[in-house]
Amino acid sequence: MILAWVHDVVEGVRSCLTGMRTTGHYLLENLRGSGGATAITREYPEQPAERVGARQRGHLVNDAPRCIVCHACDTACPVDCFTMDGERDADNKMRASRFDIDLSKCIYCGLCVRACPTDSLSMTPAFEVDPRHDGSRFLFRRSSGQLGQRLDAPDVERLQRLADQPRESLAAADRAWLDQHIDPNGPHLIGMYGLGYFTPEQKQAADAAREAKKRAKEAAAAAAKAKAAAAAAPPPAPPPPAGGTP
Amino acid sequence: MTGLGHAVDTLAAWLAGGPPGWFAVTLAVLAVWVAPLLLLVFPVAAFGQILERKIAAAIQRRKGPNSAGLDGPLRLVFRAVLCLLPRERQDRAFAAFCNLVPVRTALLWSRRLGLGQFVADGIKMLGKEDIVPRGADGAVFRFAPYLALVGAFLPWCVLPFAQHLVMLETEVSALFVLATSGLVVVALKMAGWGSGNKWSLLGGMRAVAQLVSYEVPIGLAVGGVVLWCGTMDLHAIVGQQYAPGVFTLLGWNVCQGPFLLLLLLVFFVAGLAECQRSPFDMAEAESELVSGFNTEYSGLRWGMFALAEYTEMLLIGALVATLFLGGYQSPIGEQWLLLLPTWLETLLHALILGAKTLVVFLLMMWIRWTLPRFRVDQVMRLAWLVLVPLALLSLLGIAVTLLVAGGTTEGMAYGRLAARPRPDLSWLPWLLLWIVPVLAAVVLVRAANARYGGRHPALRRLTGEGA
Ligand code: SF4
Ligand code: SF4
Repeated sequence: MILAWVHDVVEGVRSCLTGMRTTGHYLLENLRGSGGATAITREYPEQPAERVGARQRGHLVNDAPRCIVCHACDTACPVDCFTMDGERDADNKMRASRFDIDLSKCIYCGLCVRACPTDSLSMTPAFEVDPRHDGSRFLFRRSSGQLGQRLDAPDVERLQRLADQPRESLAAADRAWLDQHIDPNGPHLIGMYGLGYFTPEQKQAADAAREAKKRAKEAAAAAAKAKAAAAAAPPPAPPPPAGGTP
Repeated sequence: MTGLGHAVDTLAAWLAGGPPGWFAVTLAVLAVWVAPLLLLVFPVAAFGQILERKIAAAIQRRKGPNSAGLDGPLRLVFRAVLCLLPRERQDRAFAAFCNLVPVRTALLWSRRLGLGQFVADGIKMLGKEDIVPRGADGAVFRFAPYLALVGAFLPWCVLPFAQHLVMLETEVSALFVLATSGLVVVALKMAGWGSGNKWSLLGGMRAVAQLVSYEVPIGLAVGGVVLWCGTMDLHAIVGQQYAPGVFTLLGWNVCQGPFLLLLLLVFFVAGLAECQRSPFDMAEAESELVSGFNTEYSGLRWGMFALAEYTEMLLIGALVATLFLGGYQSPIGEQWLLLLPTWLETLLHALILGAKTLVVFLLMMWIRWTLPRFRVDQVMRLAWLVLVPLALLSLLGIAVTLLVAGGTTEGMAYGRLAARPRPDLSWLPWLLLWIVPVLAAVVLVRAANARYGGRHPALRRLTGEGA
């Protein structure tokens, strides 16, 4: 019995020491800065990030001309990132007049990309956001020749950066690069606050104008309806007073 | 000798402008004893937390806190000092200061080491809501953290930091330590009961069962040292461990035979259990009890429990050093250290005690981040079936040594009390004291190995081998 107890204690001490030897080894290794995760850890904001892989899910980009404003992505999104408006262009096709993706809500699940019937929505490997941005500025108009062109992470970053500034203020080289990658005709850049708006005030004004127009249109429609109703109402109206008292 | 006690009297008399009343004495005690103690232990415990996180990271092969530097707190200090200047001037001064090369290097290193972490943690804790659950027993719930802190801090009063740096010299300081640190049990029980939460209650019950059980081996271990040194005064125990010559080390209790070494191990393991550290963190046991007795605590009240835990760890470290490792004495050449001017000697002694404490502290962390948590029954088994028998065995061995050796020597007359005699072993009995028990142990272990083989008995039972 005593021998069993001695053996038990010795075994216990020995197993503790074995464990501590292992961890002590790690400890020393770590302090020397070699081995373990320490040696391969990148301190991200200070050191540049590595691209994880081609299928990394980063920021969303919408290729504006291909988008048909079908709201499939909007429906698929579990957290309601999208705010979009559409309008008819010259060929009577729907195109996005506003397509904001609130990246502060996005959980990068990729459901919207799968839902998109025209493949205009795609994910890029870019994942860094300048904290000054509100993150909704990824709509670029590209001409049909440029649609096949893939925008890589650095490209998207550059686009994002340049998209913050009005075109006139860009350097010539930047402007040329932009023209190469996105449609040089028309308001090809959608600024960070939406289609061609570079300040929140611009966008607010435009939104307000659109709202006002919509309300005016609705009011007009309502008025027309009321008028029509008024025009249609009199004929059935008279009978009750006429034959109301049989 | 007791500079601090004298300082209390003087200050109290000065405050009262005559013979001091209780109020003046309380104020003086607060100013001379409590405030410096808090000022010393709080930062040390906070630093211990960072150290722990770094060590944990290193053992788990990651980096640990590496971004929170001291530049943020420094900026706050600048703002506070220069509060009359406009904001940009403050910032410019701060930037100029930070751009000095040594400052910048220091700040960078403080970031890399995560030194600002405890400031951030403290501010975070201050900002948290103090929640008292509806079902809680309010007064008990609120009071428990304070009691835990008191239990963790009181034992420091009698601890000799240096020859002239003891707050309270009593003849029973070893008993005082055991008695006051027992307050923590009550605090944990109160926290568990007062929270009105089943996890807390279970954690509190476990804490009480564990702490009360481990008081026994701790008490026996301290008793062994007391038996050997013939005094209950910690300061006198330190004085007993003095040895003249180069190797003061040889006088340390831990060198006085395998029984005291065994007691050191028992004390250390039981101390580990006393401060509820992994592998003995039964009372918190995240994976079983959410957070055990402090499940319902938030903000500063939680912080007090954390602080009490670290203070207690430091206390165990300091006690191990005091009881077994020569206290504040230098391992070599203590006799020349004593020739230095008092202030320098005091400083060096305090630093040496700090270094010894730190070593034990590091060992505790190493163990914590290596071993998994015990089961409740294993914890009890370890206390009653391993530590207590070992402690009793050592006590017996020490008693027999004392009977046989008998001879005594004078230790250094440290502290208020003259040291009492303890056996003076010349080299032959000293060697015998080491060799005989160690040989006996080796024989026993070999016999056990021969009988039970290399495999653990539990494993053998499982596989049905050797039945
Ligand atoms: S990736 Fe997911 S969360 Fe983000 S916009 Fe698409 S559907 Fe919404
Ligand atoms: S699913 Fe595709 S096409 Fe439809 S609105 Fe969204 S981005 Fe446009």
